[in-house]
Amino acid sequence: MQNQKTNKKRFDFSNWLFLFPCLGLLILCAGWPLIRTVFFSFTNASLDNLNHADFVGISNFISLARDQDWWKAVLNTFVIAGISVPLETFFGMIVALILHTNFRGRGLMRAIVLIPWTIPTIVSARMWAWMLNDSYGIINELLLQASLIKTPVPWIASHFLSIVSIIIVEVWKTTPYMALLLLAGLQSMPQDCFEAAEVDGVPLRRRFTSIILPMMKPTIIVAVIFRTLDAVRIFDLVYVLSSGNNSNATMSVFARRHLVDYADVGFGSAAATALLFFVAFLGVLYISFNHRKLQKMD
Amino acid sequence: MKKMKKIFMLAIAFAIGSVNYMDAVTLKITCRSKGKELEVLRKSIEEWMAEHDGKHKVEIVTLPHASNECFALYQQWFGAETFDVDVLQLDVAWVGIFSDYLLALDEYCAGHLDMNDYFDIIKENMYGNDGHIVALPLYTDCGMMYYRRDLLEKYAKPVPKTLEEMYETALYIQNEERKDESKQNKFYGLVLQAKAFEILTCNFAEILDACGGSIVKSGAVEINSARGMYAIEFMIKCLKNIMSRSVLNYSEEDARGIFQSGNAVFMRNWPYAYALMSDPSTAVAGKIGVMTIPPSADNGKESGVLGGWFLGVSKYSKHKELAADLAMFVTSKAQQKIRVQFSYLPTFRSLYSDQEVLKMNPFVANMQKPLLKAVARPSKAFGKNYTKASSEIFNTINTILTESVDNTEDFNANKLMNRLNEKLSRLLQEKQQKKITDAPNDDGKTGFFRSILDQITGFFGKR
Repeated sequence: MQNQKTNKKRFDFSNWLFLFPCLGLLILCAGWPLIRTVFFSFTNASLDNLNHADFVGISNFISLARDQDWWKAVLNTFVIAGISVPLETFFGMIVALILHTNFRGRGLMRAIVLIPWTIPTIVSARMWAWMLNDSYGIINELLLQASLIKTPVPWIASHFLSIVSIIIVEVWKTTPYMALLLLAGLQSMPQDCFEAAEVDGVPLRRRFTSIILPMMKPTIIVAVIFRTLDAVRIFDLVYVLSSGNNSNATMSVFARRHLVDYADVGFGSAAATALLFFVAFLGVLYISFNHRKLQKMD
Repeated sequence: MKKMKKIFMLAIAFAIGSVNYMDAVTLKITCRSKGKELEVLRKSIEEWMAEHDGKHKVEIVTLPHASNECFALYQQWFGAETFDVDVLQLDVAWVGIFSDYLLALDEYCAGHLDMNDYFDIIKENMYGNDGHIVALPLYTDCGMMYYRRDLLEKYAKPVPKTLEEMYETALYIQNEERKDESKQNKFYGLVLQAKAFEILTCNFAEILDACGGSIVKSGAVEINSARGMYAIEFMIKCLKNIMSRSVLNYSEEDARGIFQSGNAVFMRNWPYAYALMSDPSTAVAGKIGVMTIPPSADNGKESGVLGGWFLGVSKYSKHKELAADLAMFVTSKAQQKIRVQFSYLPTFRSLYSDQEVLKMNPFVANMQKPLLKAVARPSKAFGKNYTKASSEIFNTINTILTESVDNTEDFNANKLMNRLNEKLSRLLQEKQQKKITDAPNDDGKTGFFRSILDQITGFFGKR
């Protein structure tokens, strides 16, 4: 008994030793800015006065909670994330299933599908902004030519439509990522189930709902968690594709506006910290929820 | 003995070397990289170095593209107090904001500057909060109205004299042109920039000025005055009838895209667009005219918002005299004259009638009048709160315009303007109070911990 305990301890120590370089780097790159931001959120720091800031307690958070624009930004963020993540999962699943079948040029296809994900977001956002322009954008031109619309649609100039456009572009951009994660899940599944089902003559739809979906569940859950956490932080797309008006801002855009444009580092940091809590809360919620579910499944 | 001599010689050489080293200075100057700015500055600097026999060097620090990012960068630099940039390129709206961090240049420019030759509105912006000259104008910019000469001629319409007349002309030509099927959906009477950014504050400020109103007048905000309401209603009318609703997401280049491809009668923009649209390959080359933003028929005045950039010297510069010399050289009349060929407008009045200048760029002759009528943004009145104030303005105007075309149920421009007025008044008051209580913080970096201590002791003191 005693021997086992010491053994475990030594094991832990070497674990930490190997983890140290990575952890050290993380603390340096992620931990320090994070702590600094949380620290600033309790001060009245401004961009031109970072060192002489005064401690103001939680007053930044109180005014944040009272700020209508902030709650609007929270709502916008969750609308965008809440609609785009299910869509991405749906399309990603279709793409993954297609890529999972055997056909010629599959390797090339897999590489091509990834293109939207590999283009830097700011570049693709700018590209889409041009394509969605109402007078010289190609999207309106195509829709007009096909007689689907009669007058050009101001895609990125109205509150509602710009959110729609943001969701469309977000789905276009991240579907490949979803597909990639789901494809990995598909490929790690044991093939004998499928073969057995095929021999037994189970129809395709049944095979999907009764075999693939249940077996894919853990993968789907992980993919959805990743994407949701990512989607809640959405910034660059919104920054480029919306008119800059407060009514379209997401949480990150709101935080940036106060941090940089208004130079209000204290308040902006409070917004950034609140965003962090949202993300952390979501993460914990998801993990604990799914942990229980996964255990049940086992 | 020989050895001693050698050492002695070496010491002397070292001493001379170090003296030379002490004298030769490397200055740092910031510059935007938009258009040809960088190239032009490089040339000026070469001349300046030649004038100093190549003794000193100048390093250029390029700034981010977006001006609000430059602004944030400067705030961080000044806040840190330890940066080593000597000469800074400043937007006209920032001079007042940063004036506490800028070196007073009066003693350096005394006798060198022809103050009377500057346009009045530019001269006003050279002074800091305490009345010293803190920035020297590099080039200037001014909002103006472009129009399609050929279209006005085609429909036998005169160049409009008032805002209202411009609206009628634009509406008439738009309707006539739209009879052509290919232009049905994409021809508009007017384009301007209404994206919720600084540019919308500029656009609104000049229409407001043209309507006889102002944002801040004698220390009080009056953006919701009758003239203010008239200005916003005029914009709504334009948006509903003669503008694409996409202008709500347009900045300068988007607007130029529409006008340059021949799809608008009028466009509000900066002078830079003129040179680009005169290129023979564009659809509108040789067909455009420019004018000031026309006055409203009811109590208005001609207008155009003042833009442009200045050079200032940082208070923390280690080579103040040389830095001031560099700033003065780059902004001098001779250098501004060279800039004219790249379409950078000079800040000296005399250059607008200078034959050489007009030969290089005849367009300059059109610009004197708009500059004489130009209006400044209220950056001085709001000081450090200007970016917040400007953002309140452009957000509210953008919201009003958006809601007006969306026909939102509880849309009420009056209410929104009143709320804007309140918010701006608060920002203005805050700034005025700050001025009195803004004593320098002498306890330095301990401030933060001191204040925590104060809070804690205060907390227990109460018990």
